[in-house]
Amino acid sequence: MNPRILVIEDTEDNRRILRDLLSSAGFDLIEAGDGESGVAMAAAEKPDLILMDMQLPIIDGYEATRRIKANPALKTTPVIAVTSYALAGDEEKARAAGCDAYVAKPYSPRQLLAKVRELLA
Amino acid sequence: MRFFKRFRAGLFGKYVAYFVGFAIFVLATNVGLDLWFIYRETTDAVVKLEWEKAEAAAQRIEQIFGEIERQITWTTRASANLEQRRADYVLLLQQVPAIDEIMQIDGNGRELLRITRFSTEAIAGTDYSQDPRFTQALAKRVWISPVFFRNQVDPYVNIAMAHSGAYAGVTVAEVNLRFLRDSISGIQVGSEGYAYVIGPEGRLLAQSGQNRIPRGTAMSDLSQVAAILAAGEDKSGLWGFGRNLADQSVLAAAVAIPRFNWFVVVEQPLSEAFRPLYALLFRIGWLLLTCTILAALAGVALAQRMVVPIRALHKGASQLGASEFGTRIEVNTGDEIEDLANEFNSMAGKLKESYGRLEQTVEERTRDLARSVRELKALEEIGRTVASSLDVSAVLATVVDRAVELARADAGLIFGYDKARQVFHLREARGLDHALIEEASEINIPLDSPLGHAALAREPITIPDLAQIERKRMGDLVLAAGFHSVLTLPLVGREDILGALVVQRREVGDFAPTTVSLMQTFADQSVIAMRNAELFREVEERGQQLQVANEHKSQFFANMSHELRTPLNAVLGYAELLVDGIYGTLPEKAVEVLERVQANGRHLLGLINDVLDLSKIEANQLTLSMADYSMRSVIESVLASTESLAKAKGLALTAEIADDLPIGRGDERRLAQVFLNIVGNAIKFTEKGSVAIRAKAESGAFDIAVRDTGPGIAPQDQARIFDEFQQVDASHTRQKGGTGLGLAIARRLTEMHGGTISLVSELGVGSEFRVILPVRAAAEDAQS
Repeated sequence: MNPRILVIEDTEDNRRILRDLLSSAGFDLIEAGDGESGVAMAAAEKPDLILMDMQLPIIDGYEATRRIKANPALKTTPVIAVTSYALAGDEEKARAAGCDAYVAKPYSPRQLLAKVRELLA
Repeated sequence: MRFFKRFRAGLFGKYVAYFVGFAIFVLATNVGLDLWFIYRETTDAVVKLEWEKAEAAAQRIEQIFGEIERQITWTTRASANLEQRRADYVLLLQQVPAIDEIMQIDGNGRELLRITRFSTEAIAGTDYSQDPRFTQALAKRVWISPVFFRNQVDPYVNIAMAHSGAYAGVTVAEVNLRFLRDSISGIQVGSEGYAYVIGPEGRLLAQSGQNRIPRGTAMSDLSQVAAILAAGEDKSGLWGFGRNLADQSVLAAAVAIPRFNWFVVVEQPLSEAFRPLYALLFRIGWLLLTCTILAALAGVALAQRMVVPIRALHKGASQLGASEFGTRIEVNTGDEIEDLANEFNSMAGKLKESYGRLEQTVEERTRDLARSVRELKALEEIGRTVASSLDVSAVLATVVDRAVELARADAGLIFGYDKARQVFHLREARGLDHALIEEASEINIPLDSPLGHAALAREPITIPDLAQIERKRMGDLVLAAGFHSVLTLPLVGREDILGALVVQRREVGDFAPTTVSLMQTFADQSVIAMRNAELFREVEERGQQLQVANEHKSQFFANMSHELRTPLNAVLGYAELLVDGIYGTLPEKAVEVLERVQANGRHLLGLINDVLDLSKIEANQLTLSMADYSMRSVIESVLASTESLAKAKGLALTAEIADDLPIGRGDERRLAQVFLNIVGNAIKFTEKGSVAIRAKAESGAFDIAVRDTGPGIAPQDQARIFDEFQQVDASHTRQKGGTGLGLAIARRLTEMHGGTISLVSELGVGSEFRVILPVRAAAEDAQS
């Protein structure tokens, strides 16, 4: 059974890029378009890894990550923060919220794939 | 006090001394002359008496000798025989007791006969032919020998007398001079006077009185005797003072017996001779003493009379000097001193008067000065409040407090002005009761009022009595509260009306010009305070607006960045997926185009990042994440990211990193950005050769140099390549890519770490960029 990755991302294009990239690499994908539904989906589907955009509608990625990590069932699920705010402190902020890795937009799909594989290994 | 004593002693003493001195001088002169004359007279009298006695004695002695000679002559007549002669001689000895021995010498000089009073001697036949008694007697008929002494004390003379007839011989009589004593023993001069006879060489022959001086004693040691012996041919009038052998002072007078060269001397001790003189002296001494005492008493009395008023003058003058101008000097001597005292008194009166005037003037000046000081202090206080407080109410409260105090007013008010409604309204009040303030606060005073008139005319207005003018509501209110005189000062800016300062007094009357001008100063201070408050409000408002605008700008950039990156992310993502053949294999030409799309997209992303960084730096919003870092790993990460670029261009990329680099403190990611930029540039602009990195640490700073063998940068361009959007040649930008912001950002980031970035370059040779960076960057830029 292929590893399942939850992508929480509000932009359709970005979701599609990840979907095309990760499906072709042999991962199963489930997707959410906002923080709230992302948290719900994570709890329901128990994915192997979560790619979390930080700028999300309803609740943002930091809060969503905190909620996911607060769930004992999801505590060990790796969360990769994906943010377009490549600013000083962003990475610290993401890690403080519970993220396991950090990727700044725009990312190279190849590099992202490498990061995903690393965390699932 | 000391001066006073000296003065008294001096003048007093002088008076007494002059008086006594004069009296003594007159007396002493008189007495001295008298004494001199009395002394002369006494001396003359004594000497005259002594001479008379001496003269008498001398004559008596000469007479006695004459008698003895006559007796001897009687024996020398030519007697017939020796027996006859013997009888004559015996008779002579009986008749003349002074003769002790008599002898006859024959014509041949032989002794024929010698009869002494005490024994009869046989003829000795002694030869006298050569003896002066024989020869001199023959020559002179009568010869008297010099005095000679038997037993040293008995004086004798020989009288030799030649006999008549040829070869008749000589009779020699030896005469004892004892009889001289008898001839002078009767001499009396006073009770202590005495006489004596001296022979040649000053030997004593006889003396009278009680003295027991041996005859034959040499008297020539006594000064008066020496003087007598020294007298020349003229032997009359000899007298002098001297001392006798009993060491008494004596007055001596002498008469000569020229035949023998003897002298009869009469002496009287001065103690007796001058007794009357001494008595006189004693009496005069007493007189002098008495006179002196009397003169001294008179002097003291006179001095008292003179000095007491002078002392009173002095005391008065001293008191005057000690500013006791009430002093009056009481002197009633009826002379110049009283006039002087009166002058003093009138001077004291005048002094008292002018001193009083002076004190009054000083008091007035002091009062003025104190007022000035109070005013200055008040102004200083207000100025300080104005300068230190932006709370206009606090300033106005201070102004109105001080204004009431210094204008000696009973109440003070400050009105503000509402430009929109064109009315004045009360802002601050002092000296009014609460109800009055509440009522006054509700009144809107129009421009057509004393406040408005003063403001429009920009001049103070004084109302000496409110009751005398037409009033409106405020006027009635103030008058009803008991205030009559009012001073209104406009508070006006350069163009606009700000309000008015009003001070009020209960009594009717004008305000002094000094008060008005002081209040004008207060009004000016109030205007400044109001203006300051207004300006501050404006500045604060602007500041807030500015801050809001800045926040908007930052937010805008953040959003912009996000909004720009999101689509770019998609573009680049799709392009990479296409190139990677996720969507099926593409023709080679399409892949090439897609790669160009990717390159342009990344360039656009770089531009967006650089603009964002720079704008954040400009807005002071870029903060450094301070942490410990390893410079070696920073450089190695830079090498890792640029290696492929250098390799692609066939350039040698080398790094020489010192082994002992310390652990640095700073923002590692930003520092990597700096070196990435420099190394990236070097690779980008170098066509062949090498790019070499050298890193070391020295005296607390990293020293990183990046040297390339590129085209170099002209001197005129070296300074501005660190400025924004500057590249050496605009064509390079298109050719090489890059935003022209990289070096500007690198420089700003280095500076934020407290470092410097510099450039050494030569056209055609290459460039070396050098970054000097504190190992431990100061934490001040770590704002978050």
